[in-house]
Order: sequence, then C-alpha cells, then structure tokens
Amino acid sequence: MRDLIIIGGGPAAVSAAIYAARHRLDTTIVAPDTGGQVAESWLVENYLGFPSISGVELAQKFEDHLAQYQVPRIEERAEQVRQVDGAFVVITENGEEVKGGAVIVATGRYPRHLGIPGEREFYHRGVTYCAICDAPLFPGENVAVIGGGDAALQATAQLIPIASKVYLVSRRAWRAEPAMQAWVQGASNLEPLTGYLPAEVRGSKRVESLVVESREDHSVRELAVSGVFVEIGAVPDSKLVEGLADLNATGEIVADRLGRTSVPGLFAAGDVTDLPYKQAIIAAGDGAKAAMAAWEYLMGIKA
Amino acid sequence: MAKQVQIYTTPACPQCRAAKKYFKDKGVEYRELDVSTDARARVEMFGIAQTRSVPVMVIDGQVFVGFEDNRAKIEEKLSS
Repeated sequence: MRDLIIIGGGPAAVSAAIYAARHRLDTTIVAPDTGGQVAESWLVENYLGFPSISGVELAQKFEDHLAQYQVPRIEERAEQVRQVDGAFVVITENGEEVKGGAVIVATGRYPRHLGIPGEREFYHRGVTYCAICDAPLFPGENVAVIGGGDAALQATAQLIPIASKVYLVSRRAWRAEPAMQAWVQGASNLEPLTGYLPAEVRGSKRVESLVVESREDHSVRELAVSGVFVEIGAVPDSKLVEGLADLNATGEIVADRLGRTSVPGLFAAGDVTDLPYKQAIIAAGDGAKAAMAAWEYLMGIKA
Repeated sequence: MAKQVQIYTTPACPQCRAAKKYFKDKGVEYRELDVSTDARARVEMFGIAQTRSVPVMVIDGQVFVGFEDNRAKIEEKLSS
C-alpha cells in the first residue's frame, strides 16, 4: 500500500507531488498527462517567476521539476475513489487498483459545453474546446469564439493573427482580466457581439455557420464561420468521488483551507474544489497545502 | 510487421504531445506532420478525416481523431 495517491496532472497535483516527495511519502500519481489546463493555455503572464510563458512551456517546466523526484506514475485517468478499511482504493480507467493511506484529488476541470443544436454533431468538424490545439487550422477563415472570460480572450488573441475574421460572442460584458482584454482591443478583424447567445451550429460535412440571438431584441444573425471555439468556462472533474465526498451544487469538492474534504484522509486541491479563484498559481499553493495536510494526517498529527 | 503511423499535429496541442509520448514509449515509429505550418498536410488532413481538430492519427489506414478518447482503440490497432 502507498502512503499517498495524487490524482491529476495540473499545477495542484504536481506541486502536491513535489511536497509529498520532499516529505518522503511513498506516493503514486494517477494522471494521463502533465499540465492540466495550463497546457491548454496560450500565454501565461501571471505565474510567479515567469513574466510571459506559453502554457505548453510552463507545463514542460512542471514536468521537468517533478522529474527531479522519482514519483511513480500511472498514465491513466482515475475513474473512482473508494474507501476500504480506513484506506482508499483508486480505480483507473483500465481497472487497475492502487491502494493508499490518503488521497489528494486534483483533477481540475474540463470544458463546459454549450448544449445547443449542432454542437455535438460538429465536434471535431469545426466545433472545438481546445483553442491552443485547433486555432492554427483556420488560417484566412472566419471563426467565432464563444465566451467572455480569460479563456475566451486567450482564444481570440490567438485567432486574430490567423483568421480572416473573429466574432467574439458573449452573453454579457467581458469579465476576463483587463490585461487580457487589452490583447485584442483595436484589432481590425475582431467583431465583438456582446449580449448575444449562441443558438445553433449549422453545416453539412463541417461547420458552415453559427446562429446567434440578441438577448435584447431577440434578433437573429447567422454568422458564416467554419470554426466555433467554445470557451464558456469549465466543469469540475469530480465524478470519481461522487457519493464519497461532499460536493457543492456545481459539483465542486467541498474543501477547507487545508484541502480537507468531508472524508478524513481524502484531500482535494486546485480547480476541482470549491475554493475561490481558479488560477494556476493558487492551484499550486493549494496542492502544497494539501500535501502537507496529508502528511500530517498520515503521521497522526492533528492540524 | 511494423505499422505505418502518421500523426497530424499543431505545436502546442497537449493531446498531440501525449500521443507522441505514447508512441515513443511503445517504440512505435511515426511520421509527424505539423499542420500549422504545412498547408499541404492541412488540406490532406481535412480530406482524410473531415476533421478540424488535432491530433489526427492514421495507423495502417485507420483514422483516429483525438488521442485520449481513442487510446484503447489505438492500443488494440497497434497490437493487431
């Protein structure tokens, strides 16, 4: 049996793994990749020590840093966490079982879907949730970005130099960091459509248009686009502890300031928790705290 | 017999990196085409899979769009 199992590959998980290794805990990581949402970020300019770095480079730095410690890793998604005789069993997607005295869930979030007609049908055929992956596939074409948060502005900033025209469709005023909003301001090929709701993705073999509706006068516009970049936030990846730990109404794992969940020995860190402000640097700090709290738990120290 | 493996990628795509690492770890040789710079490969990829997402992998003629969702099928194809 391991001391600690860390589930996830983003900054919370990697930071937790480094702290766990330094506390000499026998740890296993369960994650299909490293970097989490950081790896899908275009540019990161608010992570301490890196004034401006691409998400893919920062993810690589996480991986290099973690490689300083020999932490074994199972490169699979974790499907479920179960409690057995005061310990935990993590079951992977291929049915492998890992047993540990404590668990840190740092699975992060995955992209939220729109739930409009055509979205599912045209997934991979113009509809995408990974701007960093697919933006380069639309040179000289018209595209739409949906959302008004950080990720939407990141996608827009990436697409402006590539696409012919970029529509930025948001239901209300942008709420991205003003520093990110500044990236796109004044771009001649950007048409912000603020106060619009996406209604339908249309096409034949692939996306040909996006129908949007004004929230104000309910007028409808059909935008001729071949790409629809959905960036409307993310959903906590907490299914693996459903029925075990307390979740809030949005599915976030309820965690205290030390990352303790409703189940002793089960910790959570980063964007999967109900702690405010989903930021890489906060996730890294939460991961460190959870690892130290897990160490205290395993040592029988009362926090 | 060694499988013919082609992968269409863009430079920063996490699933592309995961797929390449997977092939490397398995000792599977592959041909990579960066569709962000190679316009011909881009058109070729659109034609092969009717797709607008990377990674696209072609293993002995069988097309896979996306890595994580297809990991098990790719595993099966490689060992067939």
